[in-house]
Amino acid sequence: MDPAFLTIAELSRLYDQRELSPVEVTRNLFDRIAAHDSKLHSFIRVTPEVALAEAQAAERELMAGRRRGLLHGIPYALKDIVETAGIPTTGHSKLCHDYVPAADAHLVSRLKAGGAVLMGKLATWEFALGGPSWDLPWPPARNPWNPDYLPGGSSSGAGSAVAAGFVPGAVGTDTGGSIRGPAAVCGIAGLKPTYGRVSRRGVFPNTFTMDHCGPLTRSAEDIALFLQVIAGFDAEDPGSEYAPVPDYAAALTGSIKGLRLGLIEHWYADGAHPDLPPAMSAAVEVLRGLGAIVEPVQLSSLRDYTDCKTTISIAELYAIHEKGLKTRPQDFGRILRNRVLPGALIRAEDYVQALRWRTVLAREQAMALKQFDALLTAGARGVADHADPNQPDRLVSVPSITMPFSVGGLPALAIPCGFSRAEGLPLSLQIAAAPMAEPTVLRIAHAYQQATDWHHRHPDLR
Amino acid sequence: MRTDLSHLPPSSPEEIRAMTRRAGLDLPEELMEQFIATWPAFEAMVRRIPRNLDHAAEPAHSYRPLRIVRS
Repeated sequence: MDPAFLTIAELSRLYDQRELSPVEVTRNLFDRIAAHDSKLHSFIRVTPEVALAEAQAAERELMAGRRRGLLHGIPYALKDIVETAGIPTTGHSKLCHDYVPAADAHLVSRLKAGGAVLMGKLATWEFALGGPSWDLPWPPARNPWNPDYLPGGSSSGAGSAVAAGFVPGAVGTDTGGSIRGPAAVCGIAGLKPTYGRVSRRGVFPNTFTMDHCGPLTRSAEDIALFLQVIAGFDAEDPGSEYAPVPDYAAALTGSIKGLRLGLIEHWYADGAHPDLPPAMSAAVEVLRGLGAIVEPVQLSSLRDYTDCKTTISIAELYAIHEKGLKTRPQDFGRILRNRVLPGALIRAEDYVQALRWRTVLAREQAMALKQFDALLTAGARGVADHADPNQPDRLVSVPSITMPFSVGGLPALAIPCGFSRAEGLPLSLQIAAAPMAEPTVLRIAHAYQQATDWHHRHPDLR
Repeated sequence: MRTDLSHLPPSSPEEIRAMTRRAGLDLPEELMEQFIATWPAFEAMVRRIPRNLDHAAEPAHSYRPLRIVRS
């Protein structure tokens, strides 16, 4: 049985039924990576010795009837800004080319304790910001649906590897859309949890006030299983929230009858890919058919949200990278350097005003969520970008459809909702809800995926 | 009354060089020229931030001593 596109839930069932083993799956996926990743560059480093040792241990325990958790024996990979003890963590940057952490990130400790199998470290935009870049020690990852296109960013390798069937799940990070963007353009599921839901300890910071870690998988059900393992309070992360972790899989009831959903159509109605509005309309009809009540809602413009988020980010980014920019600016990739340097000229009052504006914008979302159980919009305003090293930087010029829920710190999930006709590339739906309402987001996404088959379509890597 | 600073003229290359020096950065000329080309879009963005927020609008990141200062 080829495990390439089996989900986490399916793998677990097959382990229980003794029809597949973690070692067999791990070896098979490494063979697939060896055969195809030279075209996709999704991995910076594979870790076969670690993975096979973890898979063998998992196999012994599962055969003995001891299940450590929902990801026991399940292969996964990490964006290479997540620290791993004894395994280099590069940030996809010359600046950390030889950095070997002494300790695991908190979420890695949770995955290890749960018996998951680490397959390797994944490509990222440089320090989860600067990309796509062609002037770094490793090439940018490519989109498995068509390697002439990019997989989005900054969790570029995670989007590419999960969509390519190299791993059933990966950990990414999302400050302004870096999980949801790659998920959207690679045709998979990607969740930015509530700010504070998953520990950031041991993850290279981008923007302290908006950094989130979360899973990318091929289904909403798998997002629930993965989140269950990595969510939880961490006293060593000042942003961590002390809140009970619910049973996420229990939320997947299949029923969304009577849920009220607010559709933020004006964020993608103009200037988006021409196939996106019809795909979104079709998705809304599916949700209505399942019994949800969908009504339009108006929030501030994407321009406002993008300006607020990016001002906060570049000020914090500069504080993080100031020493490096003053001592070895040539070692930064051009895009990262030119995105971080503006932070040197942000005044204290600009930063504080942007933080105050964030409060206003977040309260606007909170008001909308008094009317609605969840908010719907697109996961991306277009399809994947062509892999063009000469493309101008659009961080500031093009407003982002993922940044609003970064500003709000809300849980937000991107799932596939169609394909473009001209390019044959994925289109995406984004679902957000109130803080800690991940169960609601997952319930809606799962119900949608029970009624559609977009998430069952996979790229052919031949 | 204006609620932002978008009416201000863009900084000149000389002003950008001066602000960069005051920030303690001594960039090689090639990198400085890249930055001079980059900054105007960021400057316009920062100037669009509203400046008329209610005085009670607190910054979105507050200090929680129990989370920072632990025994």
